[in-house]
Amino acid sequence: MDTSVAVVGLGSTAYGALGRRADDLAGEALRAALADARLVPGEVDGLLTHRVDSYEALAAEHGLDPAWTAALPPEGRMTGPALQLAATALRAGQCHTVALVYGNDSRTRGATYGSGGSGSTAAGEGYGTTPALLAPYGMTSPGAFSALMLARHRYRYGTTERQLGAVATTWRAHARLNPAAMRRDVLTVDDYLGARFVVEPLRLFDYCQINDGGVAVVLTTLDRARDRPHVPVQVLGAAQRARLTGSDLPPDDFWAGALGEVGRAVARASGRDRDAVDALMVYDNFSPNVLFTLEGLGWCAPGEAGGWVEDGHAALGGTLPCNTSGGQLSEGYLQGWALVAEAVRQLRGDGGARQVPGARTIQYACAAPVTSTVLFGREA
Amino acid sequence: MHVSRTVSEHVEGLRRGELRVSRCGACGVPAFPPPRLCPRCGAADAATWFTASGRGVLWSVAVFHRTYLPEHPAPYPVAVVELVEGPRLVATLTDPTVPVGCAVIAEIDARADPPRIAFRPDDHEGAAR
Repeated sequence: MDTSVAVVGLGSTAYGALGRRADDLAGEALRAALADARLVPGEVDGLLTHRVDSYEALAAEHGLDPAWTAALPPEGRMTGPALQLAATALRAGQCHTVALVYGNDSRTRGATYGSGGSGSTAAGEGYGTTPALLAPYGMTSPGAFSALMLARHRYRYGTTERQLGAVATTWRAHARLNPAAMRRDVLTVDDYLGARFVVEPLRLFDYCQINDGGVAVVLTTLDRARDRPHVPVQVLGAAQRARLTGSDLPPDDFWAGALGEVGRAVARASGRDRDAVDALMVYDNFSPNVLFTLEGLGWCAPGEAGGWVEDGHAALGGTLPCNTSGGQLSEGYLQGWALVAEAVRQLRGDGGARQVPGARTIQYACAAPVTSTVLFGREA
Repeated sequence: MHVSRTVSEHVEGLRRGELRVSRCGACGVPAFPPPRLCPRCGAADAATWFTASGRGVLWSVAVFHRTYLPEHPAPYPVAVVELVEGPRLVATLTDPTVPVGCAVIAEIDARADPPRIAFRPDDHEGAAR
């Protein structure tokens, strides 16, 4: 029996400072995804919500009485696990059609709380699992965590600021081909280097911009997917590995151990190895994560990802086009979901001016205290 | 959302000018902050505290150029130091230009509230490891 599962519906809102609640944005995305799949609420028997305040209100407002329900905590590291969880439920026959719904109003909420304008990153006294060891030193932001990792990477391997800047400039060039991207003005390496430090060695354009938005994905079994209007985009494999012990401090290996493990797991599950991957959607809350992910998945030897990106390998037309939408640095930070949406659009052939020609296999990857990857693909 | 773990021994130690960190009392593996279960041997609530030498290596450093909290006006450095006894911890530096990889030694400001550790280059160790 074929237990394959596929994305048949995709919906997203505008991304930006929208002044709307997370659940409102999630609902708009859900309605768009159901319309995209041409499904009515009664045909959906699974619901997974992420960063939504009330799965109950969302379900009630959309006529959903699922046989399977899950609600995940707000961290972006949960996006890969969300897809893995839903795919597993479908394969186990616990339900046949799952709506995965995400909504985020951090930008609006941040402004409401008067954090001093449109912040690039969240901060607070409660950062980390043991704030008493961090707060006295002002260690308050995820960006600082990434900055510490980059400073370490630079010490170990000599990664230069121009190499890191190539991530932001490459993504921006992609965003200029994406009408939905938030940041679309030209960004040169000189612009990048001329921008202020936020937490040195990270500069302004190494940070994604916190914003509002919603994304929804409908996942179903492959036999049902073939009856839907769009070409099925299969979830060929999904895997995760946590590194939660000691997660208040950056990992010694830049999460390479976890990335290698999940990368091998999805290659095994799908029968498609790294050479089959046509594009990579990499979780870029901060640009150093891109380098760590490329190295951890084995695209580059340790320490060589900076030069690899600078040489154009991650650009459209390069060896492995990455974040073809502009990514979270330029398109918008939807905690991985906008990257998932881009993977689906590319595999449907809806990439427009940024289409990866003939894309059959696209990988999503997130290096984090819960590292995950999902391999999407069209039938071979 | 945030799990609290018992680090009062560490904080109280700093008030006395001592750098107190923990290891598993059953198997000896470095474990700081103290876990409820030892990740290696599984012993429950078995952490024991000891006074570290204060010597270590600067694992990494980042400099905040943005003020997130009024009690921490930018710019200021945040360091991660790996102690010779094994544990890593966050601290500040006496000089933000100390290079990663440099041997460092702790200076404890016991009268600050909360008390804080600042690392400075360890002249006895000389060159970077």
